[in-house]
Amino acid sequence: MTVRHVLAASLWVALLCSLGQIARAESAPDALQWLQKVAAATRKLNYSGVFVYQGGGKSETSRIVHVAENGRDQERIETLDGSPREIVRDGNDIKCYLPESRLVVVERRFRRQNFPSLLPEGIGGLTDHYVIHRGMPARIAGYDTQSIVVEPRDDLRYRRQFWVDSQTGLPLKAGLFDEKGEVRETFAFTELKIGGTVEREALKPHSRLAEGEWRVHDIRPKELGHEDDAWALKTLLPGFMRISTMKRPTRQDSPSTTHMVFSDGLAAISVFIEPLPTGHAKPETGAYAMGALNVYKRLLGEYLLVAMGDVPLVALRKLTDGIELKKK
Amino acid sequence: METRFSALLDGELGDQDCASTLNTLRQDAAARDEFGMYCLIGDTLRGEGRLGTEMTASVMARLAAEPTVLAPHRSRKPQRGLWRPAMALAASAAGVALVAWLALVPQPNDVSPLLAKAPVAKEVVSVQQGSPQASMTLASSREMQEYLIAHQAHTANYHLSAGPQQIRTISFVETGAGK
Repeated sequence: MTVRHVLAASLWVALLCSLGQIARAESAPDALQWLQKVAAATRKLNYSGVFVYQGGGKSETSRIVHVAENGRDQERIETLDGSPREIVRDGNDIKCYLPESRLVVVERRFRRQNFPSLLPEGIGGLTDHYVIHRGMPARIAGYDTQSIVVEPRDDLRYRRQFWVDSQTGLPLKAGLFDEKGEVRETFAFTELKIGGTVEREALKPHSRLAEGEWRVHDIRPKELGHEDDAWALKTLLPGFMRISTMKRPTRQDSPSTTHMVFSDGLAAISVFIEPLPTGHAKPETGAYAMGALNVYKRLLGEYLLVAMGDVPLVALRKLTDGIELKKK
Repeated sequence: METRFSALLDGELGDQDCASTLNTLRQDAAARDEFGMYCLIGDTLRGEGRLGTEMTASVMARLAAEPTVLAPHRSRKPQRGLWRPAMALAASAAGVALVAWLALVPQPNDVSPLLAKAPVAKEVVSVQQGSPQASMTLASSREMQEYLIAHQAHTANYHLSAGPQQIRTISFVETGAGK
């Protein structure tokens, strides 16, 4: 069959070439419906399980518990390998426990009107920048799944694939792939229970985290209106909308950092603009990888701009290089 | 030509004949149309295939003009896995269907070959960092860790795999991070 596979592939290539200009590829409507189902499932279902995450050259196993009731959801993720880190979320309040540094970071996200997060019109908008279609079904962690493939139409986005439970739409496995088709990140459940009740105890941080001295760093931001900030965006990435702008605390002696969040509905970019303390050595700038995310740092006068996201570097560069101070 | 189409779709053509038939299809638009219609009729008889928007105008017109439906004998043969639907779909002459269905080629074990390179296992696997420009890996520092927490918290809504995807926040932490 291998020869036939090869022949089949060469036939497609041959026909593709001879057909000349390929008409704009269409997304399959049922695949789009699956995405909507997925968005709802992640928010609204109770589930608990163990998953393996691979990203940035590392691989580790974690447990997750998620409970949704009365319009509010709670979640806890604890790593099972290495240092026992946790993220505990109650609605929009988030605490990250980092035992290696005895640090608890307290964060809050903003209440959004629309759950599920992908608005109906947002899904439609996705097809402007992605081709979305069904992939092959698979069996994962004992569940029958459908797969949805999301291909970018340009070089500003990465390819993604989701394997979702055929019954509920909950993602059991997901992958993020770069321009060459190499894996940047995957997660996959190895055990999963969907629905049913979840023990309240499972949502609380581990008792070991209550012991000893912990530093608490509160990074909760204050939301700004989009026009309130001092920054002009000269380059807009097609499909990416600015979702929110906020100010967050930095060091005690300096003014706060501006944080802008952009998304195209699937990928997300944050840009942090931090005033540099006077007399400070110039920080390093350039392109970095941080796990599965890319990071781009740029100096602009007395400010350091840091952009990060699950998008190719070219997208981060374009966006960040186009940021300027508004003229007073 | 019909016998050739039939044999091609059944995978019964020898390499040389296969190549020459493919060549004909490559060069001859009329032959492609004919092939496309041939496949589509077969698919319709078997109750599969995609009708409607994927048809080129000429194939549609020919279909309308046909007084009787051709009954390719191969329709009684059992489907040969990848080969048949792949060929038939490739032959529906609109590039639209082709491109959209390209990714549907089933791979061995139904696992994307990309993911097959990174098996889900406990041992550390090397996952490419992606763009060659990102050659430097960020030293973990508290600032970057907190930027990551902030980024993840405020973008969780936009990730379909919202829950497990949050693991990124704490996955990056190196032992001894907190500088």
